[in-house]
Amino acid sequence: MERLNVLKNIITILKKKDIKLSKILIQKVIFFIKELYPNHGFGYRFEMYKYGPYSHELSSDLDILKIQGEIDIKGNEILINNDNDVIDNNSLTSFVVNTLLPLFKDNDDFNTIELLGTVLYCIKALQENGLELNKESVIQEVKGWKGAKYDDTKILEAYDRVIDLVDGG
Amino acid sequence: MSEDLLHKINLKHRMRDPLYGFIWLTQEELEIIDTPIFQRLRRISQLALTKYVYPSAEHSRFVHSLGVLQCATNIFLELVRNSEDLNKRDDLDILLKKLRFAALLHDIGHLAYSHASEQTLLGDTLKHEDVSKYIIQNYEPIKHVLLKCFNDATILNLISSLVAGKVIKEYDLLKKIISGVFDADRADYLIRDSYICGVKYGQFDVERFIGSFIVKNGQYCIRYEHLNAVELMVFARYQYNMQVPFHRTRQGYDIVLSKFIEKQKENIQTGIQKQKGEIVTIDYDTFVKFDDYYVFELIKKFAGEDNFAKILMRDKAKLHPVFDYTCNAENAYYKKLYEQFIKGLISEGLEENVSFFKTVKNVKIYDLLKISDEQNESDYKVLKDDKLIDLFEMSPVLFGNTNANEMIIYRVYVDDNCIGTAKKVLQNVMNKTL
Repeated sequence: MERLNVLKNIITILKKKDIKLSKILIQKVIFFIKELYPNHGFGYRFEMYKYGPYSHELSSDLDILKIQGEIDIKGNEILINNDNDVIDNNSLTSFVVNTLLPLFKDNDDFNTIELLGTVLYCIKALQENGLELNKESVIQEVKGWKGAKYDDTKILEAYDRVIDLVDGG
Repeated sequence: MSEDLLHKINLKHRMRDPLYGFIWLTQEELEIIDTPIFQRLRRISQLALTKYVYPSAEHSRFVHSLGVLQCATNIFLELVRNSEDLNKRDDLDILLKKLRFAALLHDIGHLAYSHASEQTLLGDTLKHEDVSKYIIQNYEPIKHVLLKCFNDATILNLISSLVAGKVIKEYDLLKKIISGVFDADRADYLIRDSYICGVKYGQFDVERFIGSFIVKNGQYCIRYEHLNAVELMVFARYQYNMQVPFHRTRQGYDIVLSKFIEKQKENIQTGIQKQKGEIVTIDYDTFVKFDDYYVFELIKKFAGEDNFAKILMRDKAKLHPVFDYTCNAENAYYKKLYEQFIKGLISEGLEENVSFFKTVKNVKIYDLLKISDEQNESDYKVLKDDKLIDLFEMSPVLFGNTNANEMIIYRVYVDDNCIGTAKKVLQNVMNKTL
């Protein structure tokens, strides 16, 4: 299935760049691709769960890759079993390498990854619902979902990192 | 409060239903039901070819959509009754109206034979929910009713995002009732499908279940006293999945139907125009005609020459599930047995998708809970003595099953002509693999 090959390729790209691939990171990377990269090839539905946008269907696809022996899932980390070459002759690869990798700096912790995903979800939700999109409305939305977990400064930092990638942002 | 709310939304019409007695409707809801695109749902079966297993499974997505409207209303009224946070609000009638429209329209974009045709005709990127979303935002007769009712252009975005999309926090509550883990969609199809199929799998204590939720500190939570009703719904769903949609006979016909649709793709007019993974436009006249009958007319047309069509017409007697194992996904023996069996069939000259059909499906109980597994915690809280506690702390039964190994279903089907050869191959492979 084409979708699984694309997913496997993205995991391989991240591994080749020595990124520690946690479950939350793959969830948020694929969410960013789905929202920001046209013709992404993923039909995953992301909904807001405990740690930001999450796709149960993506989780199922990771399980299929595990059953096929392509990856292993140890605790919260995803390991790739085969030393596959990256198929890097397409623009999705360059989007992941040139746009997403700098966004998810390799020192980002669990909470920062959650916040980046949550900020993008809130931006997109405001846009999709035809509501005003600005720093204030995003801060209010993030606080609505996450309560007092993140202060305004943290949310604004995440907003600044994400907004340039968003059409109309 | 419930009576007041129902009075405020002005219910004028009623329809008979075997589960709820009457389903009451507003004038505007009836106007939507009377549109050709909604009437089309009468011709989309709820359970596709499950009727080849359970003969009475002839009900449609039309009646299920009405059922979800009623069930969502019942959950909402109970939620208001239970929740001090909620019952002080003065816009409850508006919220309820929005919820009911989303419930009514949640399946409006289903393709003919639903899931069997979805991937072939929509591709990897799109799902029926995207079609629903497009219809709600663009189909003039529905737009007209929604805009007349709310006089606010954002209503189209809201209703479509409740069905398939991102909601703002304010509407998370309605989203959970429409498409959460413990939602009205699942509650209705479990009780309706099991009732109509005549199976016990899928039944649960729905009356207690609908009153199991409460809003506390803005969160949609489970009431501790109702935890068993919620657990029972999860297990009913597991049993239902195994005995209805994943039933070996239904699954066999699903494979053949998907193959038929794939083969006839060029002859099928859905009316949906796509470009770069997005819906560009829908020709509604064509879409309204694209129903189960349309696909079955094609099956009849090709029944003289096409192997898939013959099987679907039941001209070719039966599909035999000659290999059927559901086991722990980590069990290497059955995986090897399955692989060796396929090799054996091929070496005997049997051709895949002609003489035999295969499927592998992984099933996890935690699929049923749809939790975020990033930290192995539940997304839901239980309210006990005014405290919010993680669902898994309160329900060891759900926690245990969430962390259980996934299961895998290996199935191979053969037609009448190959049953003897297939059984011989299986015996040989079993002897060798042991």
